[in-house]
Formats: sequence, C-alpha cells, structure tokens
Amino acid sequence: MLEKQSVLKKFSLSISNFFSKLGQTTFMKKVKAVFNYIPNLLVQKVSYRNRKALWGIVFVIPLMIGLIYFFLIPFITTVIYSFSNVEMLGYNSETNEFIGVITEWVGLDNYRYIWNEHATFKQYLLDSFVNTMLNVPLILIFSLLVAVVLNSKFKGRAFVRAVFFMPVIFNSQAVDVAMASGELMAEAINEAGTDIFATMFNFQDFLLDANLPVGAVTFLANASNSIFDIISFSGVQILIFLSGIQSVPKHLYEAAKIEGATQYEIFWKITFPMVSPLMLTAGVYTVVDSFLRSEVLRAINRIKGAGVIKLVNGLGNLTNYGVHAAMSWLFCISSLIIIGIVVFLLSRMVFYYDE
Amino acid sequence: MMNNEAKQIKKSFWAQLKEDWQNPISRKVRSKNAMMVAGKLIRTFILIGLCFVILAPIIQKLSIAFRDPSDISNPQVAWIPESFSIVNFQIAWELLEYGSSVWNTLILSTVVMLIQIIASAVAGYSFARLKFKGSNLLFYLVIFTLVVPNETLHISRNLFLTNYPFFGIKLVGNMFSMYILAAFGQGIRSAIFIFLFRQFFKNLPIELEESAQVDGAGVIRTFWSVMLPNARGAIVTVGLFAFVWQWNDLYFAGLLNDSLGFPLLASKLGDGTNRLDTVMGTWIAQGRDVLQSIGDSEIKTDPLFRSLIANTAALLMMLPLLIGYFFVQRQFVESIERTGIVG
Repeated sequence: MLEKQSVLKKFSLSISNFFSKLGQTTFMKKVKAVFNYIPNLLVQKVSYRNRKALWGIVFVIPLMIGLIYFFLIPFITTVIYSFSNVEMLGYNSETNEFIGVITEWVGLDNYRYIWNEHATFKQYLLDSFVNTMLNVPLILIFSLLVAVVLNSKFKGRAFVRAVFFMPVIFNSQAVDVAMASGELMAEAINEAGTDIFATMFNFQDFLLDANLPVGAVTFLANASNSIFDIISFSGVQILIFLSGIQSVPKHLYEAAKIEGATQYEIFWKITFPMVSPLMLTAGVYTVVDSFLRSEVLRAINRIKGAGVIKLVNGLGNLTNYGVHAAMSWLFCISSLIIIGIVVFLLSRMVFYYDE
Repeated sequence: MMNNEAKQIKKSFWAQLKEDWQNPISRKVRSKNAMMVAGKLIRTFILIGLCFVILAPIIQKLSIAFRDPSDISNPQVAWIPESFSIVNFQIAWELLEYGSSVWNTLILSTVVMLIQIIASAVAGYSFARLKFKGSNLLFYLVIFTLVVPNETLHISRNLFLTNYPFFGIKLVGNMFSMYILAAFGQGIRSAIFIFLFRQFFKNLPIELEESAQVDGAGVIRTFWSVMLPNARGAIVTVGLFAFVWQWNDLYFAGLLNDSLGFPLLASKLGDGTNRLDTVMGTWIAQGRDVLQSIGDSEIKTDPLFRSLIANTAALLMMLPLLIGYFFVQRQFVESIERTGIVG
C-alpha cells in the first residue's frame, strides 16, 4: 500500500517537474506570450472596473443573441402583423422550399374585428381583468399567512411543507388537457357521492336559512369552492414570502419578545413591514401567472387554426394570423396595465429597512 | 383533632385556589396560555384541512386508476374500488409509449436543467456585479419577456424560424432546439431564473469578491470558484423549477416533432387522450391481449372509460415527479430558506 502511494507520488512529481521545465523553455515562453498578449494589454491599458464591464458584456452576449433572435424580432413582427392582413404562401411544391408570407396593411381592421365581431374575446378579457384584480389580494394575503404559519415550529412541519409545495410541482398544462376529457369521471363520482346526508347538511342552505344576505353567502361559497385554485396558484408566492421571513434579522424578534410583544403585534410591527418589499415581486408574479392561466390565452390559441375570417361590415377578409397577432398584442397591453396598477397600489405600503 | 387540622388544610387550599384565580398576574398568564392553546388548535385544524384539499385530487386519481373498467358505472363505488385491476395502467402505458417517452423526457429535462442553470447564472452574475452601460435596460427587457407568453408569439416566431434557420440550424421540428433555446436564455421562464440569480449574487457580501480580486483572480475565476460554489441554494431552486417546468411543458413539446422518433410524455398525453378512440379501434383490429381482458365490448365505447384512461395516463405522467419530489423535498425547502430571494 505504502509503496503504491510513493510510486504514485513520484509519478505525479515527475509529471509536474516535466511541465514546469517545459514552461521554462523558450518556445513555450513565446507561445505563452502570444496567448497572453491581449489579456496583458488589457491589464496594462484598461482599468479593473472597465475590464469588469467588458466581461459583463461578454457574459451577456448569448442572452442578447437569444433575446433578439427568439424574442424581439418575432415580437416586432407580431406588432406589424396585427395591423395587416397576412397570407401564408406555404411551400413550393417542386423544391419544397418555404416561400414566405404576404402582408398587406389594413390599419385597425383586425382590432375592429375583435372589438365588434368576435363573440367572446372582449368578455374573456374583461373577466380575466376582474379575476386577476380579485385574485391578487386574495393570493397575497393567503400566501403571506401560510408562510408565517409554515415558518413557526410545530410537529410534522416537514410533512406540511412538503405537501404545500406539491401544487408547484404538479401544475401541468398537459395534465389539465387530459383531465378536461376526464371531467366526466369526476362528475360521475360526485353524483355517487351526493346522498341524502350531503343534501341535508348543505352548509350553503343552512346559511341562507339563517337569514344571511344572499350576496355574502354566494361570495363565501365561491371562495371556498376556489380554495384549491388559490392554494395551487400561490405556491411560488409562499416560497418568496418564506425566504423573505427567513432573512429578517433575528435581533428584531428577540427585542420584541423581551419587550413583551404578542405574536399578533410581532406580525404587524415586524414581519409585515420587513416582508413588504416582497409584496411587489409576489404581486407582479401573481398577475403574470394568473394571466397565463386565463381563458383569454385559450381563446388566442383557438384562433390559431381558424383560417380566413369574413367580416360582416364590408371590411373584407382577414386571416387568422393578423387576428391572432392583434389578440396577442391586446393581451400583453392589458397585462402590462394590470401590473402597473398593482405596482402602483402596492408600492404605497412598501417599507424599506435601513440598517 | 386530626379532623380539624385536615379541614384547615383543605380550607386553606381552596382559599389559595380562590386567591390564585383572582390574582391579576396569574389571570393574565392563564389567558395568554389559553390563547396560545387555542391558536395552536386553530392552526392544526386549518393545516389539516388545507393538506387534505391538496392531497385529495391525488388520492382520488389513485383510487380511480386502480378501478376495474367494469366499476365505472357502479354507483356504489366512490373511493375504494370494488375490484382492483391494473388494466388501466396497461392501456395507458401503451398509449403513452411509456418506456421510451419517460426516458426521452428525463433526458430532455435533465440536460435543459443543466443548461438553464449555467446560462442563467452567467447572465444573473453579469446583471448583479458586472455593470456596463445599458445593463439595466437589458435586464428590464429580460423581465418583459415574462409578460409576453410563448403562445402569443407562436405564429410569427414559427414563420421566422422556418424562414431564417438559426445559424444554419433548423429549429422547428428539431429535437435539439430546446437545448439551443435554453442556452441562449430563452427557455421556459428563463427570465425568472435570471432574476433569481441576480438577487442572490447581489445579496452575497462584496468582500468575498474583493478578496478574490486582491488574491489575483480574474473575473471568470472569481465567478467560477468563488461565487458559484456559494450559490448552492439558488442552484438547487433553479434546477428544480427548470426540471419540473420542462417536464410539464406542453408548448415546446409541440415544437419537438413526434415524427422524429422523440416522443415526449406531455405531447403524448395531450393528444393521446384525444386519439384514444382511433387507437383503440386499431388495437381491437389487431386483437391485442390488453383489451381482451376487459371482455365487455360496451365498456370500450363508454365515454367514462375514456376519461378513466386519461386519468390513469395523467397519473403515470406525474408519478416520476412524485417519487423524485419525495427524495429532494427536504433539500429543496432548506435551499429556499437559504436562498433569500429578497426583491
């Protein structure tokens, strides 16, 4: 064993000796000088700060290429398409080469079609606008409360945490698509489950019998029906708030405890203000996320394969490409507007802690 | 005599109890303790309820999946099937081409995860510490990509990419296009990952970098051997999300064409359930064993049977994630606590 080690050591030493000798030969020195020419020049001529900025640009180059190629050019094309009638010429039948598209400027016709003729888009847009505005405060409050609870110590905390982040993992579009055809099964199960007891102990009827206002009862029923949606939409927000609570300086809590503050006071006086900058991040994420799940996006997807659309008002024919682009553009603008509103409202209650 | 003494003690005990009861300090302590117990009880109830709400659909899926096809119209069966069978699993397995599609999805998700980590760490480090003119503008542009979903750019992007191949590489219908997109920072929600890394590197102490610089390390060396090893929490978070989102993604799975012999779970699940009727028809024509065990031909045309298979297929798709999550969840939660994604 010992011999083996010593042999290995000798071997490695001889290799390193060989390389150090090789490095001192004149030929290798010249090679090194050639390869270090530009870096040496940089060190002599450019200050460290500027070198850092140069490296910063180098680090970002792939991102810039990707951004221009995969995002900016298609995005600008979409904007142009939204104002024009787009016709696809398809492939050349002989050479199987792609010929391209013809765009013809039609002004606001695509938008006019969406606004006046399209049956459901306006309604979907309004619905998702309202839904998002309702969802943002609900999800923010819920996820903040859950984060506070998950941060406190109790038995079985590891299990509860693992369960709460499961919706983040299992939110799959493909599963949703598959389950859309599986809804029949769920309905059948629910029918099997509605027996005499379930109708007897209907909590909603009970509340109505207790002479509570109908609006309040329906609001409660809706909230409790959408509890699964709220939980599954707020996984990332819980993560954000949890990490925010973890990074609050511990001495603040210690001081508050010594002064005799209750848990309630600690939450409102310390945790909430310290976490409030994260409200912005979580709020913007919520808006983006709930727009991604909205019915509008599904409507946009549906128009993709719609083909030529005839307009009633004598505006002529429009193709689905132009209408799709206009819808996408409206979608982006409306989500930007909501983000603006949310940021404006939330930035009033943000508190920045200075050490 | 004895009796009297005992009475006195008893009396004093009751008196003391009464005194204790009226004592304002102990009253306060008592009410505080009661409040704490009540709070714990409420917390336990709420947590149990929410956990049930989250777990119920998964348990329901399991219970449906193990149900014999002859049970679907049985009103007696709500949760526990009357007769267990794995016929659904066999059919869903065939429908998804499970063996190859799981393997393909696993490879795709793992490679994309690694590429995403490296690409977004490099970009995030640049945005955090290597400021240049216009770096903030570029960062806002990256965040803007979050607002514009992939579906809305679909047509113009597809036309553009078929017209002008990316440096000579045809991206549409190419199984490597996802890797290229991820490497150039345009994978699934790469902007979030870049944002995460930027926040993380910003929160690391600047002294760490300065000491490396004094010791003579260049920018790349500082990044690779000082900053990146310290970013373990961010790497775990980004890695997990990149993997899971890639696994669940349906949009980009359509970009990779099936006809290339690269079936993915998501795309198989998406259109597999829609094609179930035709697939079943060909199977019946071929006389496969799987269908013969069902026997009753009425069941095969029942729409409920279709949704039964769809449900089982969805469960099969989620199963590897469920098993994987079981192993990494502790590390994941711990890493998030250390990440400090503070905005």
